[in-house]
Amino acid sequence: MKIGLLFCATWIGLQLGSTARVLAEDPFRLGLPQFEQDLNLLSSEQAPARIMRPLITSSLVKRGPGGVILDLAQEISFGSSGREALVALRSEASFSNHKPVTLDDLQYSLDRCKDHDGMLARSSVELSHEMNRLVIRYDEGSGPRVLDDLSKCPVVERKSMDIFGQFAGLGSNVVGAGDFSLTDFAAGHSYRLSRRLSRQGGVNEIELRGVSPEQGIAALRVGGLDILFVEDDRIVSKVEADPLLKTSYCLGLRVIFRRSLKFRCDTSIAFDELAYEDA
Amino acid sequence: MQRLIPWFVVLGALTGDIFALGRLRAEFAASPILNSIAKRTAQQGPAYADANLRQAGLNANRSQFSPLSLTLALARLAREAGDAASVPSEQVGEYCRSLSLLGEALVRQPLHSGLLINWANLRQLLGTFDCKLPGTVGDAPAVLELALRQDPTNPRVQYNAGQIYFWLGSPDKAQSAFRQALELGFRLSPGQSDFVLNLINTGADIQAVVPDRFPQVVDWSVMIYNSKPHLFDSATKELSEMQLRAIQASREDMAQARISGELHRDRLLALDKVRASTTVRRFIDDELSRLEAELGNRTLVSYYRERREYQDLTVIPAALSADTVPAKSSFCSWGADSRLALDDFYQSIGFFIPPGQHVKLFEIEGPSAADKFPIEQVQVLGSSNNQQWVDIGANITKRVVPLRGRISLVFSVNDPGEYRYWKIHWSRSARDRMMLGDLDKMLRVFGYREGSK
Repeated sequence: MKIGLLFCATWIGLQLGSTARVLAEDPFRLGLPQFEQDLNLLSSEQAPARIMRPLITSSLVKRGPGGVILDLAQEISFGSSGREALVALRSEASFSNHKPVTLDDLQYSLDRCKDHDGMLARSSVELSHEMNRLVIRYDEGSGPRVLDDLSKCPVVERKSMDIFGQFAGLGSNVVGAGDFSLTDFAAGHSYRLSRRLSRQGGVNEIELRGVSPEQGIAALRVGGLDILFVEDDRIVSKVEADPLLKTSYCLGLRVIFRRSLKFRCDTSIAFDELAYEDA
Repeated sequence: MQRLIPWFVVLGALTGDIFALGRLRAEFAASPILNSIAKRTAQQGPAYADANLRQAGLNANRSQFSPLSLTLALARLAREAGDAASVPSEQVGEYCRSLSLLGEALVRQPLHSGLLINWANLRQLLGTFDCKLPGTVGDAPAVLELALRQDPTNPRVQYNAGQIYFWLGSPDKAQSAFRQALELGFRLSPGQSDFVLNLINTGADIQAVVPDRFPQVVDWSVMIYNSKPHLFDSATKELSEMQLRAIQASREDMAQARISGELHRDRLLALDKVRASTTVRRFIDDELSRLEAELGNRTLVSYYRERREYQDLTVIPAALSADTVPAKSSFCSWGADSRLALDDFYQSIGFFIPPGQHVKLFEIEGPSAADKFPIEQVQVLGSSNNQQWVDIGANITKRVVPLRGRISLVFSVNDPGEYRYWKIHWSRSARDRMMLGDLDKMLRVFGYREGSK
């Protein structure tokens, strides 16, 4: 009798727990098409790099649902000429190696985006030690474009990037100021990220794995994956009638996930909002 | 009961100076903020006033309380009241009162350097404001010069003069005064260090402010390295020249028997931690090998002579704890300044070496009570992709070098190969934790750069 009661209580407890599974204990697992061996996390447009970049690096501003919001920038003020922006840095901003983000790092990062990625065209970036600000000068009327470029330009630590040189961005060779840091990787197979300051109720660990679509769908069903990215629309059409799975779009790719997953993806995956809502 | 005791009685009792009572009454009655300090003294008891008076620099022995020190205390209290005032007119009023008190004291002791410097400081702070009080009119720079002439070897006067010159808009004179203060051995508080550090933004600034002698050269190299790492990297030439001059001065001190050989060696070892360039380190290695040769310490002589042949290489360190599969695991957290022990449960320490640099020698330094360390348990692996690792132990000569209270695990590389990533791995589960330290300080890598000697 006692054993029966204990069993019932345990079963009820498990059921109650499953109605709002919060993604804090296990890594949140993403399945992706097989990715490149020498994926460059800073410059590649492949899905894994586009997913990880905003997690392991930060930018001065970021795009949110309501428009542009400040990220590493404490303040951005635009001059009355309409051709100049003054940027002040958040004083507590730090890189994954715990070193503070400096204006020097910022200038290096913006110059890097100009030179490597063609961003901030017809703009110049100067450091003003007197004002403790970064001065961005640009052509009249291109202010909105500059903000957009700033949101895409990852801020990285100058010293490390100088040493990594041509190897910067490859493998784990990134020192960024994002909420997550890279903790493990196997080139072409998997990446693991951990939140630098873990929090209750959110995703603290993320794992990205290269899988075939068939393996991925099977893994989604048994709980081995939380989200599967696919390139082939025929795979998506196969699961559209599936009562357990749901499809959507994210970062230009089709995604498949369980219907119970609360999932939103605008310019990036909203990892802070992820949760399983029902059993 | 204590609330009923008038504040000036409390202060008067504290000072034990009957004459002071009338003066205090007049001084405090005219100042609302000092009045409030006095009221708090009356409410909180003599300890409050005592603490304030101590802070004001008064002699704890109240029976020796002089009219001059009372004036200085009142001036200090008025200055502090001015600092704390939120209403501008009250703030200026308190500063004027403080200035006037100092001016009156100067009438009695016109060549007192402390009075002069404090008066000049307040006068420049108030600019051209007319206080309309006795003893408040004068030329701050002239008074400042007078203070410096009166007491040129007083480091406190020099430091204060540096501050005043800075506020008067003479940064060159400020730097010179700060340098004088530091040369005279003035120990700066953290706030004072920050103030001076803010004036150092170029290599020329470093040379203008920091004395090229021990221990200042080590203290300031550490401060610049920690607070302004970019400056430390960009001002290599000036820092190196300063450090080399300091070593030469120390060697001269030793040659003239002003310091012992041990102290000279300790200075070199301390500077070695923050040496600005390969040139400085080679100079240190030469000097240390010469000293050790005199002591007949062959192990150290051969170590310093070997190290002297190589350049300092720029690497990014990394660490991996519980690395139970060292041939397959990867470093991820680059440059993290973590505290760790090499000899701890399959710990790995590693580094990335940029293209064009070749490793010939690397070392891990840590504290150790014993001169012996099971270095055979340390495995060295190399990788070109941070993924697949090869044991390159056969290509490495390992040895333990005992230093003063520390040991250095030294790895000489016969053929550096083309490895981009290097891993030093403790291949045991034992947690001995003898080689404990901060990662970026305990690992040092030497070798050669393509295109340079």
